Amino acid sequence: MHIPDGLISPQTYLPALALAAPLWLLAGRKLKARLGDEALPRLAVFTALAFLLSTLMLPLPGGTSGHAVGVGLLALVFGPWIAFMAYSLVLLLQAVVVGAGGVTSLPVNALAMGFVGAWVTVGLHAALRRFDEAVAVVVSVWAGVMVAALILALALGLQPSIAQAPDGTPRFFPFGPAVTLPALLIPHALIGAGEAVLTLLVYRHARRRRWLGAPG
Amino acid sequence: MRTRTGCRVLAVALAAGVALWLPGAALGHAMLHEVVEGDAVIVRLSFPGGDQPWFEPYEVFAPGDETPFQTGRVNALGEASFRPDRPGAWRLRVFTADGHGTVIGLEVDAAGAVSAVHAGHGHAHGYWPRVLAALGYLLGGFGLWILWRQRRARAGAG
Repeated sequence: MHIPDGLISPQTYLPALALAAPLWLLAGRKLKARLGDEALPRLAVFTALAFLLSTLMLPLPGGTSGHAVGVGLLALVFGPWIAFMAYSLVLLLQAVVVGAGGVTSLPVNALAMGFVGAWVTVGLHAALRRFDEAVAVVVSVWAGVMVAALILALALGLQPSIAQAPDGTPRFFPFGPAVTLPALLIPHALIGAGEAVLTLLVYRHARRRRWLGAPG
Repeated sequence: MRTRTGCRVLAVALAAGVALWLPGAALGHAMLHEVVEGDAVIVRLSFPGGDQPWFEPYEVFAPGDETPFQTGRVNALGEASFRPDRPGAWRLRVFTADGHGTVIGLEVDAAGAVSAVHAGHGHAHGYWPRVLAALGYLLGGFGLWILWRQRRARAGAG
């Protein structure tokens, strides 16, 4: 789901950077204030797990493949702010070391997956947990993946309209929302389901061990 | 008599005109071809999982140009190819509908050969070593942070 460099326009990533920068500052402060010596190694391990999840390719029907996101697990265990910060670090390493995603597209990817994905997961989990904890985890993680995919599909699909060469041809990405929405949402409906089940297994373990942090 | 001869001349002239015009008109709609010898730049593409972006679109940009020199689709071998007509920094941009893709910079010399590739990190070799390296940076960074906190806490207590 990571958008790489070169496919989105400055008209997209510069406003995204302006929005993400203060959120990163705020998340950094919350991370510093809330995380004690006991939780920090745990955050390291969970961030590494999220990173690994986002590198594993899952085969999909039709001969293609996709990868899990991993932010839902971070959000449920550490809360959305810390999850946003940790997942931004994952995206940065993915872009700089692994070559997935990109540096210019980092704010867009971080806002969609790290920020919105985490908040949707935590919000929906809080709303549904009174009915059934397991269902709440599965539905909220799946929804977090889907909303992130929706935002990235729209960000990509808008590129032909907002960034054109003088002759009217798209400068960065040629496909509109009619193509990008199904291209991202259909595979991620399956990926999100797999990720939700995996998150539930780890979340149960974290809950038994009383690792869950206060939301926020 | 003179009128008949005039009519004959006119008919012959018309027939000759039509005969001369028809092949030209046919040629105007023809697509001619010739096979030329030449070297091409061939770039093989793959996803980290090993799949190839078969029939995904790509664009090739000549040095300094913002409009594509060539557009096309990746072939059944997972390759994009083009024949540069000048030396300089060429760019190959490949993208899929779900937003995966890459921009590869290719330095082409005067002989038309690629002298350097600026692919960032998207080259095919060493994906898993890079994942392990990133994991090392991640855990090592957290480890350093924990050590720094412990040292500061000890200094504060002492």
